Amino acid sequence: MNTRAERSLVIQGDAGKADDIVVFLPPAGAVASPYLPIGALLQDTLPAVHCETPGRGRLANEEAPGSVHGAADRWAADLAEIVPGRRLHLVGHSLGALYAYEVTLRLESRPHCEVASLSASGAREPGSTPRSLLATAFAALRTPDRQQGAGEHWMDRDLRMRGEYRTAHQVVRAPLALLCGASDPFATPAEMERWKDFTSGPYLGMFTFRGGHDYYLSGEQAITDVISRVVEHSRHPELIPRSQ
Amino acid sequence: MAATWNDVREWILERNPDLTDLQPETDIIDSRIIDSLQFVELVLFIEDLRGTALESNDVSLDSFRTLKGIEQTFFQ
Repeated sequence: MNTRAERSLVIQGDAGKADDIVVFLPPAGAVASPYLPIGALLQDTLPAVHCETPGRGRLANEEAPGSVHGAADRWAADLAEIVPGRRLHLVGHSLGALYAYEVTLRLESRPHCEVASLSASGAREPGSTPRSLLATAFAALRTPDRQQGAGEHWMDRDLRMRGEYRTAHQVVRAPLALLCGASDPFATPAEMERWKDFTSGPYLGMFTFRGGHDYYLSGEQAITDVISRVVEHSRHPELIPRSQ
Repeated sequence: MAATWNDVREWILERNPDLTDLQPETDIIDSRIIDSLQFVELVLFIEDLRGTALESNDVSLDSFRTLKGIEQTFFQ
């Protein structure tokens, strides 16, 4: 599937005529989108748009966002301009889930923008207090004698933005799906249920995958299948089995 | 039943299907058996196993290098 870049977005596939477009929001530490292998497996009629963070990688010469809200402002503006009038399916993992929620809020307040579904993965709900142990554990990795790995600089910046993030607990209208690694200690399936309080739209289900917080880096076909189901269910939420 | 280093061993092996065994004194960080993200997951997992919150000064890289060290620091 071909890719091309426009503004802060990398478009995978033919978005010119598609009704539905999957939009991926990056997890903490990401430079290039880690979701490209998933986007490549989507059916030809379902193109993907990958949001990239200004200030790093391809966008190194642009001003980096100082907050989750700043990043969401930029992506919402670019999406409204580059893919207006489409049924957008926002998917975000970890910090990306919070980005997806904030971008949804912004797009729902604009004319000619429709968020057809919001898929939150591997993250507790937007109003949750960040676990201080997470920052402590990441800090423990930053010992002076340990060489900093690629991406850890960006991880530090993104974790700071996550720690400073606050939300007004606004409710979106988009249908909601939840994705989770079965043994992810960052956000358990039970904890993720609280996302339901953040939408007035239909609940499309909880989808659990084998693995921990980085479950989405393997088993791409299973994740792609779930995203395709979410797109389909968002059109017909009345057909969703009650057990989901 | 109280948690032990064996629970941690199983947790690591589950995340490393190519790894068939893990000795109590193997340095799981220098040997890159766990990466940065898995280290953070491991810290959270051990806190859950213990059932009590870890304090900031409990969390040093050296405390998590080996199963033996994890046992001594967190489960005794």
